[in-house]
Amino acid sequence: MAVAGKEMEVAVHALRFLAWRAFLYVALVLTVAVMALPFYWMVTTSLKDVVQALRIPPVWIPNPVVWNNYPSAWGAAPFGLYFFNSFFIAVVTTFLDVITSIPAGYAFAKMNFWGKNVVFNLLLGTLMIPGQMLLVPSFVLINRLGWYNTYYALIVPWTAGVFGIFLLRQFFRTVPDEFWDSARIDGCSRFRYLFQIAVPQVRPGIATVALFKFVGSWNAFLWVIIMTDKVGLRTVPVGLRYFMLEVGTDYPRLMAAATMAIVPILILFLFAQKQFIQGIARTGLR
Amino acid sequence: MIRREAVFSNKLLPYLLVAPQLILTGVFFLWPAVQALQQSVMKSDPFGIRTRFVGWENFKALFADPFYLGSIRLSFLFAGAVAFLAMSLALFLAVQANRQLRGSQIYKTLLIWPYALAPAVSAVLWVFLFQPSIGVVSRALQGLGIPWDYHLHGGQALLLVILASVARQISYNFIFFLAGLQAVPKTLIEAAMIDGASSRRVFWSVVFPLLTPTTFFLIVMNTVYAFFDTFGVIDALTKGGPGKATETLCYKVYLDGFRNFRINSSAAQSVVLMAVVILLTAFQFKFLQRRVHYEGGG
Repeated sequence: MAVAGKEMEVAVHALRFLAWRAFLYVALVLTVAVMALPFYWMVTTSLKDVVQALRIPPVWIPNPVVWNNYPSAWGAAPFGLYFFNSFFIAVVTTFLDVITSIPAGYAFAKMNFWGKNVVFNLLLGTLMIPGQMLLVPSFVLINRLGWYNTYYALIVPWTAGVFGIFLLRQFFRTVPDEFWDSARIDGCSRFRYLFQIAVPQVRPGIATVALFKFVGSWNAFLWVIIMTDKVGLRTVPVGLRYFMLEVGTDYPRLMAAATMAIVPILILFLFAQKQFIQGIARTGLR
Repeated sequence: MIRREAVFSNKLLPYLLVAPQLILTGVFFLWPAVQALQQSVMKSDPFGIRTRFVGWENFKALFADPFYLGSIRLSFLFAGAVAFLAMSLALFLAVQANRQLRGSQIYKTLLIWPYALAPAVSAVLWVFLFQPSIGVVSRALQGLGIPWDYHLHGGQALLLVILASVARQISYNFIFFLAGLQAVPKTLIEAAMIDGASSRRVFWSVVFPLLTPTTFFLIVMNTVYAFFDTFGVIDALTKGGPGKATETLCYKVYLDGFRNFRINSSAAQSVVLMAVVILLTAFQFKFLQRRVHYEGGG
């Protein structure tokens, strides 16, 4: 009797464990479903015709599958140009930011100079300036520089930033001083040492800085609509928003365009997920 | 001779290395910020020809304006709701992801990647789901007898903007909570289990207290996010409306600066926003020393 009771208890315990596990899986699947629904709906809608897209009850699996929305969306607005702009602006911005942040990050990590702490704190202080505060004065500045409606307006201001300096400083600090000591004895200049010996050792940090700069520049929206109003300078997010206003109720075409807009960032993310997570976790910056 | 040259260039070199970024930051961050400060104590005539110094007048006018006070209340309500929802959901998800369940890697990827997406792009998807006449979610809600139309009902508009902002911020919070959870020593949990504590008890009395630094840090970051980084979501979904139902402080700065051409008021508003950030940052610094434990290995 006592033994049976014990077995019973074990069985109940196992059952409760299984039930809890099952509940967890259901909860997880549900959350993932909710997170994934907008993307599922986007992709499937892009493969429907207009009638299917608006049918009640909603059509979950497109039938027949309509591929034509993609070439049609591509042709309806200059998406080729939008993609070129986004790539061009993001690549140049990233390059300039990295190439200027490397020496600054190194100097703050490994060199002593008069005013170093004051300058570094001043730079960190810029993190406390809300972007909204800079909008009107930046608009005036860009106009005075004669940069309104130019690539300069979308590139140069974005190459300034504390994130890269701050992160690279952290990385350069981990490079042992002995490397520089022995390089110096061999007659190596500081500059050559920096780019030939120190930089290769902080490659993960550079990758993270580049990734964040690229994504940040690619996703920029408000800055672009304020500093430019030429179709020729629209980036992908801006172009998509204008496309949304232009297509009206042709939702399959809009969703085809949205899918195309997301793909490059998705690919980049899948390749660089580790850097992405580390970049966020290490600095706490947005 | 050679030696003296080396010393000289060594003294100058750090400044040369720092100069490019310093100049860029000075021109594109500090100078505009100083301009905004200056504008906030000036008043221009409507044509922007003459400006005069008016001291605190813009700020006084701001805090006497019932619309501005309403926007402050709205922003705090909005930020509170976004921070609370985004953090509690992310904590739940992170706890689940921290168990070694099958497929947890796919699950993590799915949860994190929306963060890389442009807010302006994901907002297009939200519009499509919730658009009153054709959105699939709207129609489901209407089918349930709920009169869903966020173009008409301020409360619904606010709810929608909150949800869209939360969805984006969950990924960010998830990363931090997961890192925090992974830093909790397994032995501590096992010891509590051996002492007979239920797993819920273990979570609330052992694990959650250890996450306090992460939680404090995230409260600040979520508030900053809700205050400053939700422009794209609001602009795409509601444009501050209907009425002023979703006109938060950061959206109002933009409206007054670029739509209503009230430059000085807009500048004063942005100074108020800066004060908010400085307060939040000071708050965070108070707790900063306590979050070093998972930052090791830097």
